[in-house]
Amino acid sequence: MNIQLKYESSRFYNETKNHIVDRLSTNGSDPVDIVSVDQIWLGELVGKSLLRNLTAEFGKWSGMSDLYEANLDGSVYNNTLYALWLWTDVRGMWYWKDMLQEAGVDPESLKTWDGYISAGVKLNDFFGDNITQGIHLVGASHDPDMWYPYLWMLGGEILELRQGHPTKGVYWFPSYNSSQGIRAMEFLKQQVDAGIKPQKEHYWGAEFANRTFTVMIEGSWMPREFPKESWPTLDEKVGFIPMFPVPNQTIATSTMMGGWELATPSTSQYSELSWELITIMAQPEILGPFLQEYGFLPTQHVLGDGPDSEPLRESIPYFEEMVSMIPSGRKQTKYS
Amino acid sequence: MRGRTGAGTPILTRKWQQLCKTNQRYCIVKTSPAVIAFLMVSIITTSTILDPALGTSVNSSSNNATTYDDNNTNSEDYSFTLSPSNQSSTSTLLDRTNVTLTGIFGGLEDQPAR
Repeated sequence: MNIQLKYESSRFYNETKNHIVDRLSTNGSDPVDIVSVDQIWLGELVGKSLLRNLTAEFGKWSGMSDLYEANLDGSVYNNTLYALWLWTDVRGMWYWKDMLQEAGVDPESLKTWDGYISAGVKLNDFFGDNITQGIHLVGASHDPDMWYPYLWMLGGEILELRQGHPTKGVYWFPSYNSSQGIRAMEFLKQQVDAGIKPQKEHYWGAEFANRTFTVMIEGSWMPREFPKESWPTLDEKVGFIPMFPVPNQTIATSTMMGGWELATPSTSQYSELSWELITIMAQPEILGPFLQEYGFLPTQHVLGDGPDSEPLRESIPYFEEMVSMIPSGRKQTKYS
Repeated sequence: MRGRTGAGTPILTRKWQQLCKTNQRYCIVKTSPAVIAFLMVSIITTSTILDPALGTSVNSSSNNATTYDDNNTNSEDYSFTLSPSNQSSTSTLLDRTNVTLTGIFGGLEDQPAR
């Protein structure tokens, strides 16, 4: 059998989904067999009947039980599996150890809401105009990502399935507009009131790596902002706290997860072969070196905390701490 | 889960060395992680799931021109030869001689997925 592989990819994230939707909607004579899906797009693509139901294939696949529950959940839409989540990310607190020490801020104080704001004030006072700001606060278009974890840790939800709609019966209620949602928003407002300005421009960690902020809640991709050769000793300079600040220590933290899934378009001519390739990609001996190279987090226990995790633990800074956040990770429900 | 030998690794390494020499601009750093995983699979699959003797990439690296078009998308073709194996779960395609798999991959973009 002679197999030819063709691939397409986009340069800009904001254009990728439209490219995928357009391409899958107008297959013509060149149908697509495998497609990357940002986890938050799954529901939208399924709603447009663009992805194939993979529930039966998952049932026969031995790797399903090894997926982290949160990542398996993110492959489901309407009780049906449509994709395999291959690698993920989490958000947590990154800080420059020397700058906090210089300003006399204990990193432990960042763990609670009150301590976090006090630290922000102290850092701003100490560093003044020498840096952009002590603590980074997202004010860019994805700022809801930095609000949801506070909503979740307070027990709130973005959407809630309810019954009794006068015309639709069961319906999704926007429950984010709740007392928990307001309290979560108040924490963000308290930061602004304390002089921590929302940053409208976002550079995904580069602004932290260049030391214009001393503390930044950002993704697990942060180590990629530093030279690979510095990874073995990065923890000597940069600290990581695997949590969003909590109202008090009795409340469990939460985090936002992201990452890419692979799916088979509904119009694929070779869906069986496509699924086989996807599962082969997920094999630890294939996926592990890839995660190690790029610093992504696994969606499988075997690579996260199992027997094949050692190379990742040894090479990716704060790997264990970041993986420890996966069980407390949640996903956007923007489209699902 | 299927077993795998290490036979694919040297082939993979050579493949990437070849690609890096001829196409440095879009070598590992500029190539979509998903694409890399896809290529890894293509090579490793060739040497393990299917018959290693026939699992040789047949495309010439000189044909690998990764370019962005006006729509900010890029594309690239790889072809290789596979031989049926009883380890493969794919059964309905074994009578086919030519198959083209097309993938659209994210991960290269200017910001992370979320």
